[in-house]
Amino acid sequence: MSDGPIDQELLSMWKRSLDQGIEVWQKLIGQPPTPDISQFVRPIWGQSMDLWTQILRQGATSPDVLAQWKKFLDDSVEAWSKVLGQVMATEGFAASMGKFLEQYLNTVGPLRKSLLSSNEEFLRTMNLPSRKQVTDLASQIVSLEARLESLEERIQDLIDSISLLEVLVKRGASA
Amino acid sequence: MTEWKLPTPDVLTKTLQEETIKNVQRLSKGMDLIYHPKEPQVGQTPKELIHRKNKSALYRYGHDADRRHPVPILMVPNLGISRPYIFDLYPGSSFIEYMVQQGFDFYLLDWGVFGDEDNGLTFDESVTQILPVMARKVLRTSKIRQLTLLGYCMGAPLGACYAALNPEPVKNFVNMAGPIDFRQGGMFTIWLDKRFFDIDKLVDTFGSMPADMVRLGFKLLKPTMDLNTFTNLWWNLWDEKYVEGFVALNKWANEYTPFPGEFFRQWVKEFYQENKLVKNELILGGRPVDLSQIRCPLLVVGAKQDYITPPESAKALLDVVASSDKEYLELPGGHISLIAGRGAKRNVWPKVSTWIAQRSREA
Repeated sequence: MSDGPIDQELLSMWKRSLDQGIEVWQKLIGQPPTPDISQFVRPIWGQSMDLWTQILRQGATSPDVLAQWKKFLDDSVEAWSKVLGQVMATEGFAASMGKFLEQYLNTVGPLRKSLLSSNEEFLRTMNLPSRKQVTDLASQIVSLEARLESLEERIQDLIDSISLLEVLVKRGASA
Repeated sequence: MTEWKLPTPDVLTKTLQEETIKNVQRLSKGMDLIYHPKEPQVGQTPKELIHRKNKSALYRYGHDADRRHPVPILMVPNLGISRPYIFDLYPGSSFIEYMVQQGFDFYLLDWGVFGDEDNGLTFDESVTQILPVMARKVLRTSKIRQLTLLGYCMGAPLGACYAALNPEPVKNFVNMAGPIDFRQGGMFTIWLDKRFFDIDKLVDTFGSMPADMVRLGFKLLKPTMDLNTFTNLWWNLWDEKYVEGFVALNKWANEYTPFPGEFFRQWVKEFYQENKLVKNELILGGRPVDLSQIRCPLLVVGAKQDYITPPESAKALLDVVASSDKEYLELPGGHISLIAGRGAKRNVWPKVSTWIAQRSREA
């Protein structure tokens, strides 16, 4: 495995060429795009490259090539995971995810509503219960069950009190 | 950089042979997994159904003869998200089996899988209507006055609310990776912030929080998780024990369950967005939930690499209760590592079991 300075030099050269490439493309396109995505991506990219350099610098720990490869894979997945984690823990990411969800709900909401109402219409024509009617019935059964349960609980409490009373009466009688 | 010598031809041949055998085994096991998938046998510890309330069920594990500790344990897991058989994955790798072997009278509250008819169920009702009934059933069945409440993940805030509202029957409280301070709730706190996340619109559209959206949320927390899982599977594919564990855990990890709509609305609004629990501003069943009402012995277990419930979020419970006997354990691993896997059996379960056993002598 190669040592530090050469890696560093190659990496800086590569980073420089990446920056220059982006500049050339920006000039070719004209005005820099708004928002400048490279400004957002570059620090993340740089950070992940630093992590990769760190992994490479640690070097070989055993002659087992497969184990080496597995370690390298695990470390690089972990490095990407850290980078992704940092990006996703930002308010910018949360805001864009919220926007996406809102747009999704704006599309899905009316579609779902119209699908449900046309389904309901169809089922009514066929003289069949709709999903809503079935769930309403299920809800009623659930609430009936709850009432029964509370009655059961009260009866159990009464039985407990009666047994306690019985014990007390027996004790009183024997005394 | 670690120095290593070039291996001798003998060592090289031996390594090559071993690797070839492992790779043949990997290939054969891999083909087996794909072409003859076996349904994993999960939840095998003997249990008895004690009570059922709508979709929720209360189970008691083990047999009378094995129970050495008089104080029963009621385990309260998360409602929604996933199924509770993770606590009883398979023999030899089951938290419940382990606790039963330690002589505990162990009960599990399985919240169940809620349907559209349950969309009206709230967090409030879960704490004030379901939990008290289940706790009473435990006490009645075990013929005792107090129990140990063990909350895992969302089960911990559910349990903490119950314990704050009903301190008498709770002898001990254990919070395993349960969020309490939602300001420190990791990425979910940022993603569910009210500036970005419109919970009302979501619940009004779907009526519930669909299982697929729950899956998406959890997968997004760690997008590289599946890659890691499958690389590790390939690496350990030759190992029958590993594959057995993987199949069971993978079944659980891909079985997401929905949240009842109103429950999810209250959970996101009052916990993640307004952080009412730790501020003692939460009102359930018309009564304020004051965490300082918890005076019983308290154990909080956090996992160092937990990105679902960062340890600081769970640890916050220690600062708000009035308990004098309180302890915090921070163990290696992630959220699931506390209740499943070889590390859990070695590092976590014995500590939790010992702590509870020392406080379960008499009710």
